[in-house]
Amino acid sequence: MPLPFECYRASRETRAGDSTLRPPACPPGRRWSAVPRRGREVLPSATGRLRCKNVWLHARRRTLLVWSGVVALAVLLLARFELSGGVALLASVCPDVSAVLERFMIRVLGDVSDDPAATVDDVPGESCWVPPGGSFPIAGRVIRGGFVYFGSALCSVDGRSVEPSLIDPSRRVDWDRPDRSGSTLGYWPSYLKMTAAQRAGFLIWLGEGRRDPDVGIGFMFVFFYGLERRLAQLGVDHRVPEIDKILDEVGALLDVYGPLSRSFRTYAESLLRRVDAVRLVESDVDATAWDPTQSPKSLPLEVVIGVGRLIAAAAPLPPAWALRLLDRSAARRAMPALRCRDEFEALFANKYREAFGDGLIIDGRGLPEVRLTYRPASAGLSARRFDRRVAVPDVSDQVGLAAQLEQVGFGCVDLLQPLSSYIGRHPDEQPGDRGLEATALLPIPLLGSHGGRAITGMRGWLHENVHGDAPAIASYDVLLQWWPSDRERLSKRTATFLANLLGKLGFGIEPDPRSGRSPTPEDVLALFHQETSYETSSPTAACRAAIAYADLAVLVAIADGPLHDGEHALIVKQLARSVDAVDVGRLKAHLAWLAHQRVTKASPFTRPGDLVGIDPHHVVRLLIDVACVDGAVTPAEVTRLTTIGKRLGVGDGDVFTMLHRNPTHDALRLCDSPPDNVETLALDEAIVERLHNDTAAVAAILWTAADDTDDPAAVVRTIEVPSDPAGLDGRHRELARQITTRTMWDPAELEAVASGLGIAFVIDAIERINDVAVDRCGDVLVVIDDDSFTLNPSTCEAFQ
Amino acid sequence: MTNHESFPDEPIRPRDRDAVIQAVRAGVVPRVGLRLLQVGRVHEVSALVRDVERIGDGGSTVRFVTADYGGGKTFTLEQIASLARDRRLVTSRVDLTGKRRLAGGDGHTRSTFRELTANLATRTQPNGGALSTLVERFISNCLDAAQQHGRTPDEVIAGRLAGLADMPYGYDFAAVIRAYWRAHEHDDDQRCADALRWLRGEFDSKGEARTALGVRSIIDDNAVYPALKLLSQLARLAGYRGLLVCVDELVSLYRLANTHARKTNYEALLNIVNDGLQGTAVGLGMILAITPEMLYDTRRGMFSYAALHQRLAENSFAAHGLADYSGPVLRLNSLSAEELFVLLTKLRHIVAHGDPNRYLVPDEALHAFMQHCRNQIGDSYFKTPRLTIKAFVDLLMTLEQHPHIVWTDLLAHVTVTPEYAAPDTIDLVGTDPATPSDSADGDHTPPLNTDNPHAPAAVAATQPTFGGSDINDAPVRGSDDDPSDDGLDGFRL
Repeated sequence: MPLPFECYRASRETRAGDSTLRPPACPPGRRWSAVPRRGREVLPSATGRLRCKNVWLHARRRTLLVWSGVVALAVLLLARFELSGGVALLASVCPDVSAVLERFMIRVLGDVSDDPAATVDDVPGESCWVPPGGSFPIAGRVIRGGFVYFGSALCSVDGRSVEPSLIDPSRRVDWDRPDRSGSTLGYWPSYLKMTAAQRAGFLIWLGEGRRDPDVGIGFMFVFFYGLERRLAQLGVDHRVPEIDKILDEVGALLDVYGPLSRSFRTYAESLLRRVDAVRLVESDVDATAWDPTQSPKSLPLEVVIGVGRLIAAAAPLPPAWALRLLDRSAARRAMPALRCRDEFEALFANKYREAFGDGLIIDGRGLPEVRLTYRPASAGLSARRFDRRVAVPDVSDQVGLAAQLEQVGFGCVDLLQPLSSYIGRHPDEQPGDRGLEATALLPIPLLGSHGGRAITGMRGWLHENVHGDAPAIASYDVLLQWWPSDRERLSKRTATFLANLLGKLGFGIEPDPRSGRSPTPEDVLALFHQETSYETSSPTAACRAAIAYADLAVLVAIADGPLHDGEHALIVKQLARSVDAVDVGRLKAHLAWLAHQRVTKASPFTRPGDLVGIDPHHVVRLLIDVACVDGAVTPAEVTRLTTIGKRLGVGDGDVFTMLHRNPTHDALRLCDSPPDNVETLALDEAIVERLHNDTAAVAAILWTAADDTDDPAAVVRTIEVPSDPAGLDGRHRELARQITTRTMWDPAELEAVASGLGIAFVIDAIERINDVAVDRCGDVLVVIDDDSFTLNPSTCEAFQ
Repeated sequence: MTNHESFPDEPIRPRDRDAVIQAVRAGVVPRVGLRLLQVGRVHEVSALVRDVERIGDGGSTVRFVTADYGGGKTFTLEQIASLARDRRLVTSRVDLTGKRRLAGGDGHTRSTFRELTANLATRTQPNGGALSTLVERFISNCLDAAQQHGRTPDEVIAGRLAGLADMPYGYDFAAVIRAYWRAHEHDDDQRCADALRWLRGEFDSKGEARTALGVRSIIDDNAVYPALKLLSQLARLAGYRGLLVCVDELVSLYRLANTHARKTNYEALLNIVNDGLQGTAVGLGMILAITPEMLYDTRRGMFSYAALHQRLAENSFAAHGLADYSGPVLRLNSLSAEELFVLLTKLRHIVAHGDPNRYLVPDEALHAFMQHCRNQIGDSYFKTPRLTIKAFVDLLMTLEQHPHIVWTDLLAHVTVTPEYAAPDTIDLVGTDPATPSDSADGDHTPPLNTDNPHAPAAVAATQPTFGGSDINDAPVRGSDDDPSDDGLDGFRL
């Protein structure tokens, strides 16, 4: 509190030889501020004049103290019950005493006498104000420039003290030894507290235009107190020119002394903001006036006012105001948001509308009103006097709302991050002349507004050439016509950006360069409508597998010549239902591309590694079906099958085995991959039944085959033996009869018997007999061993 | 589920039953009772029956029966041979090995011929050894004709053999037949034996043959296929309808490490195919069993030989569910689980002597057995069922001998292992020197015997062929081709 220090300063002033012993002119009853508190603080002096003064002061003070003690006791009692009434009563009796008492009460009980309803407009002082450009005489000089209070009868606004900025002409000024440094000025300086030398320095500084940076900052504060008071008195009315002059003066002081004194800078800026805030409350606010160089500690007032008015009107919060609510957010100050400010604001508006439609409608119930506060620098001004409540809800502390908007903001930051990085690497590239990469990095919502003529042209071309589900064939050369420089140096990176850009425009391309190697401008690709969003535009695993299979199948099909319609149709059939609906378009496009290419060599985009999860044997089986679809398997196809099989982990033997099987009657599909490790054996009853029937049919064939030539006559005709009903002539019939007489014959004995019958070759004879025996009985009559002939007893009886 | 419609009503003869069971337990194809094991494949069997008919009608045929290991190639060959014998064709079969080829020096081709003549079989001699029967039947017929027409046997024999003289080696072949007759007439057993030795290709030198039989040629490595054609003519002259030659394990040629030797054999194969498809080999049919890899491998297989691939090209209309069983390649698909189930039911039927009342296990046991095998070796249990059915028959035989045991108790002890290749084909390579280019061949190439200093490449270059013909068709791709030049530059995992 300044009082003790103030008194101390006054005593120092007296001790320094102030010749004016009278207190300064003050309102009645307020002379206490210049009274030294304690005579003992005055040091003995060599001069008798000083000693007399001390005696006089001592007697006067004793009287005052007695009176004050009595009255204070009484007032305390009154204040206990009716404070205001007691003071008023006392003031009517004795103004001086009441002033002292008021001071005492403030010290002891607080600022109970301030009227909360009082405003700065109630503050007097108009008569003391020297307007801008004005002058005043003091101590024999005329000080020009104005902007000060000059006089001897102006107390502070809160009425507690003399106005600190008041230049009292009654005070002595020591022009001879001006103190321009003001180094001894206290924390709460005032003209009253200055020494004569300091007053001289202060007045000189005023007269010189108030821009000398070498003077003590206390001088500037004293001057600033006056400006502060004057502004408090005048308000913020634009129609009053003096206000703007004062503000200009404050601004000028801020320029000079702001860098020198953080305290002054804070007060001055706060004052200017205060004026702006009050003006803002009384005017329309603009949502777009965001200064990225500013980093306010709290939500800017114009935002609070603007949003508060919308809330009060129950109107939806437009994207621009929502964006302003992010002024203090890290999202607003993230590098992508700063580097791509236009894109960020546009993208935020888009995402905000996506999230909240026409805008957030904030319930204003329960929200506090906007409160304008200002902490003045002058000790003579009470902060309470500057309190002002505006009848709009205050959203500055609504953390939930901020979090909602921040989420949208950070989403935008994430989407702009790649573009921001690109701009960081290419700072010279103009937004209106972006290359393919920068265009491809634009988020989808910004393609139309920020994509430029290239996007407009490409969109027109796409809508003109890609119709419905039918893929369109085009070359990179055509698609890059809007980016000539990129067309000239086409690389995989360029193709990837093109694919990304097309994906954002709702189109996919096959083969996808993101999974292949560098194309050439002449390479063709298939374009297709893509229903999926950009984030899911990459093919799924199933789609990649289907595409990889299609490539392999084409490799097999073209091994023995160009891909013909039958092979293409089979591949399409095999891929049926292998992908989800979302990837059908891509797969169709890939197949269309394959058909259009008339490929004669391996596709650079083939990635068998994408066939993960599909049984390699199943893949090879399908490929074999493709190889066999034209009815013939050529060595070139076999070579390719084994090559593919080897790289899929299927050995040559397995490939040959599968190749050996008849092609499947009903084309297998890629999605029919057999499950692994089926534990339970399951037999198809129908197949078993059919096998029994087939086996019976085969038995019939075999039996028929054995029987249909069993016509003995035919046999006889064939082997040219004499006609005989039994198939044997007399000699052989006799030989057979004799053979049946013994179970075993020695070759020599049987040869002798045969010779006896006129048969030259016994083996031939037995062969003939056995032939007839087999025909009759189903088995031979004589079993020919190496060293004997054995009779077959099972046939013997039937033969006979 | 059991359907007995496919089972003959009559009981199974014990001899057939025992032969089948014995063969199955040994893991080989039985020579008799094959129809008892037949499951499905009606189209394939019908196609082969037509082939037999064509041979019997004086035509010629060549068939490549393709199937995986254990896929039923040998079974099919045996089945068709049996059918052909029943239709009065002479049959023969040979399993090619490293020492038995269609073309090659050092007697490798003659070795094949010797095996074929040793395995000549007729309906009454299904186990082979019918060469002498063939000759004697021919002479006997001639004797009958001579007697009937009042001519001398020599005249008749010479007259009937006159047609052979125009064929390669036909003159000497006829001379040997006549020599056999004369020796038999004079009870010269040695000369008869020499004649049969000549017919079996057992003479190593022409001088020896001239001394023994008075002929100036022998059946050497170059004369094998002409000799087979002569044998088919002899069979027809003897009253049989033709000769069916079954060549198994042709994959041995595919496994030859020496590229030139392999190609030489493919050239011989091409000659056979040409003859068979052109119908020039009267009454001669060839059925050759190959594996898919031998057919389709474009580096080592028959697809590496453009001319062969051209001959074996499939019907271009045999697509979209249409199958052509008349082409030179007859594909036997591996058994399915259902087919194995039917096969197990037939085995159960055979073991029960064809009497359903004597079944040792119910249908549930078949399911349980299949599930048990599946758990152990996966789908191989029905695709290559050799060991599976062996285990099943072992199970049944155990139950038959120990009626007190319940099948469920034995099932847990059944162990099956997957079968990857025919055991007798694993060690077929390495018998030929490998050229440097072969080292880059396919993955199936086992370690090669490259240390043999006695196997210069020039030897392979002079190897005679099975047919001895000059093939102008050059292979499209060989093992020497650059495997990286596959047109798949962009196709990298």
